[in-house]
Amino acid sequence: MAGIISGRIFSGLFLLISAIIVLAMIQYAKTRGARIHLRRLAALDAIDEAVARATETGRPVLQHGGSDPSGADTIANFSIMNYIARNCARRGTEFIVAARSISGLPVIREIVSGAYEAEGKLEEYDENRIIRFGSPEQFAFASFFMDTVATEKPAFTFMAGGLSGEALTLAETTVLHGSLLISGSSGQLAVMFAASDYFLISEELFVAGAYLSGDPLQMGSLAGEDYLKMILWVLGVIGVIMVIFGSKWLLDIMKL
Amino acid sequence: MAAILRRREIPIALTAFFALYMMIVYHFDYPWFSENSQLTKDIQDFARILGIMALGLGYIAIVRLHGGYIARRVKHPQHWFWSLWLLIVLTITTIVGLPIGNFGMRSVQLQYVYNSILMPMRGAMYAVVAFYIASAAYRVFLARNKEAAVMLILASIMMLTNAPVGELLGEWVGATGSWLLTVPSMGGNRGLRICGALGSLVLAWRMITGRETGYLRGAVEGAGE
Repeated sequence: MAGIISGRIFSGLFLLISAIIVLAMIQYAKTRGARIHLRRLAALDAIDEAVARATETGRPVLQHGGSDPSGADTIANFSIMNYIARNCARRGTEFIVAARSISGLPVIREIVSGAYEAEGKLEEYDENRIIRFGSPEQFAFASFFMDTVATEKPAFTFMAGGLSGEALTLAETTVLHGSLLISGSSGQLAVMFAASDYFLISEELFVAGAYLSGDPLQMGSLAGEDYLKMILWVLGVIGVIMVIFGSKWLLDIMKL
Repeated sequence: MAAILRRREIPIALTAFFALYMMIVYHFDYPWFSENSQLTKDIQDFARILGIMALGLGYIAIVRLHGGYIARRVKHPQHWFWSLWLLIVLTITTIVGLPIGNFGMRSVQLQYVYNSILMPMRGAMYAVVAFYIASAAYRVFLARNKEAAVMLILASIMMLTNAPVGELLGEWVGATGSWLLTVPSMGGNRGLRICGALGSLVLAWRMITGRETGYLRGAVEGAGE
């Protein structure tokens, strides 16, 4: 039957509501010029301090380049890479990216060289030193990353972007070599939480780009996300109460 | 012309158009406008082709990167000899994979490279790192703070649940492990998944509206200021 696909009406409606709320909050921030206050994220606030520490100690900053360039984790990691690369370029701190994805390599080149260019330090951008390509193979990359940590001894390591089973070994190696570790993941939560100095849990990683930009309009989108979370929270509580009392009305609506 | 092509508005506009299109056709079913329409299939094919082109760009980037190491005879970050070796292997694998003469994706030569070189090396790498995973896990699961202590206790129960020795201690071990997995762990995971999905949805809206540009070449406002 032509028209809206049965079983996807509620998801379509939620998508529409999410767009309206996010755009409305961006507009609100734009027209009022209001600075929307968000709770501080210690992991992101610590980045500046960690780069400063690397500058003082004369040791480099290392970042994991992410594994799948089309994944949301890796896209968020790219935004953070932009920020860290600019920070390093400005302070004259050595920056290293350990790349794993072949198709992500040109994106990393563009981001890092763009960051150096934005800081007016393009002449300091040495691709052969900054970008290190390991291997797309999971454990070959793990060995490469551990070797890079052992030889370069970074003062600060940032890891995010599709971390999987090898993440624990990478994290532990950085800690063993005295590097401050900030990581973010939507998958390897427990081990990365235990192994890292600071950790961006799931959605905190996705908001990093907006948070670090300091742009009020982007902050507006984060406030919109919080409203969406409240809607889901209310729906969840109502749904639980209704199911306890034997009604599946809300569940049926969500299956429309 | 080059300046126009480098403008950030072009990738943002393309992202917005294709993302919105895919979102809409997921929910609607019209003969000319659905998941199964020719236009959608063409777009999906186009995405696959773009993915392959990105791989090609990556290939060129690797050759450039390692070519630079060889040209400058660098010894750090890695000895140029290994870069030369990488380019030799890359060239051989590319040649035997191209559909020329007896070569190609199903050729004996490529199968040999894959089954007799890559697969054993993959296994060897895992074997080397596997022992390090065990020692790293030991160091991580030390009770360094309250959270780590809780995780240590719960992880120990889960290990006992899955190990044969757990059964000897009593039925409570299996029951506790099963409860931990199906109630608190499941509940926590669902909460995180919902928040993660919301986070990626809002990230998508920011990308569609051109607000999130950190993944593109260019500035991030306020970086470290």
